[in-house]
Amino acid sequence: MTTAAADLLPLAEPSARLLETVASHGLLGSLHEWPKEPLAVPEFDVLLAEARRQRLVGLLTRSAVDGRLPLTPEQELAVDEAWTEAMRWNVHLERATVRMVDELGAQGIETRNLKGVAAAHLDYPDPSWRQSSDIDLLVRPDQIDAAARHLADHGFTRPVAEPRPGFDRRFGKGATFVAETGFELDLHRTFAMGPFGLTIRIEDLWADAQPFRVAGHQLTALVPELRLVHACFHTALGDRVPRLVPQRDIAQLVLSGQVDPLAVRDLARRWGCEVVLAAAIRRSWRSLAIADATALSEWARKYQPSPEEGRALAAYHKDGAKYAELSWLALKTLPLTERLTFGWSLAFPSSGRLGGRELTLQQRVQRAARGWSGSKRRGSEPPAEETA
Amino acid sequence: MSVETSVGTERWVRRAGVFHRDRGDRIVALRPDDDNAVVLDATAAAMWRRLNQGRTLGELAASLAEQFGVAAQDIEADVEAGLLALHEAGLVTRR
Repeated sequence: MTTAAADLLPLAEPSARLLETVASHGLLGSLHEWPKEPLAVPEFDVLLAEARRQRLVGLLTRSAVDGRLPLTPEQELAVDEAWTEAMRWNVHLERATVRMVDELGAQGIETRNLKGVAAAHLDYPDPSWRQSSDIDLLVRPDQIDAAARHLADHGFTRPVAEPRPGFDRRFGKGATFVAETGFELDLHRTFAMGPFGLTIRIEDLWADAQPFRVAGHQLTALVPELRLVHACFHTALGDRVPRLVPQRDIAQLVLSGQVDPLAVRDLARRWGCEVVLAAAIRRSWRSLAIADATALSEWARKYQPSPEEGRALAAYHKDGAKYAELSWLALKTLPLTERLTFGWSLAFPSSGRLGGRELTLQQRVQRAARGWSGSKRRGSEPPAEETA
Repeated sequence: MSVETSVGTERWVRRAGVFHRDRGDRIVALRPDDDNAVVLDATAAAMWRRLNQGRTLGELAASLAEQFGVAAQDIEADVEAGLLALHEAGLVTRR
């Protein structure tokens, strides 16, 4: 075990660090320290609320059951209640996942389970350690329209509409749908919007797969290397403050020995997303205070992004016109023949296709210009060292 | 034949297609055809976990007795009641 001191500096204030400690539970190489006594009421309440928000109740409960997190009897009751509530939601989501996969399969639509259900069953010692918030299914680009139609025909609503017909299939990350029962289903074409999303080779996502079983039903996940890359995208390009669950997914996959480090790096090089992987793995190692040095963590620690990579990564963490800026940055990655269609779809979306907002022609031109000028202006900024 | 009269002689097994999460002392289980998830306490969880393979009441009681260090005949009536409750909840079935 090697200590990479620079990567283990605390990132956050004590309450956030305690949540990171919870997120690290069960990782033998983590240097996080656990409290010796039960937390005082206010600190415990904050921890439980944050664990609920970040979908870490499974790990919080496990750490208490395993005797790492000391609790008062009242706190034990609160954790029991939170665990039961979280797991009720998860078994419902899991059943809904199986039903959706079966329904789409009956329409000839192939799926791959992403993130939650697949990670819980394939990458963790027990599925109760890994909570899900929604259902994520990868669908082939030429089947995404049919999948969306099927969902719409079965009571799902789509809060943000497709900018123009065909956009999802050609350029989009995917689309979010909401079931009548309240859960969200994300149909993915690829892992991310923006420049890093459009350089992903879709054929790589479908080249191979890993089957797994849930309650007697067979589902299909991505292979471990792709699951790791997806967790890195989720960490580095998702929320402005990276969530701990995908960071833990990264640690699970890297430390389990399931992934071939050279295959992962080769994939990242071909997709032009090495900076995404490096930033996410570094962040995961720091948040979870992992002392173990692996081939991938060492590569990530030493990786030096180019100025262009740094700018592209930074764009995902800007406030304000993030969508527009990412879209314009994405233009650069497209073949010339596709740029016009992509740009036109975003600048001039179909009538009524902006989440129900109608825009005048003048507003559409202004919107397009804002995205373009924002992209050009930020293009001259120095690269961010690490924003994920 | 009623469930009560057959419970001692038939083999019982977990119902197929039940979604669940297990933390050792508690299980949350959801049947494929019911929207109400069931929460099993430590004893019911220990019983249900063992029924991943078909067992008679006697075999189940013997297995639990071994774990908890008691005589099988001392707990058989409680195990039978638990088995009937699991059957009523739709979580186990006759093999």
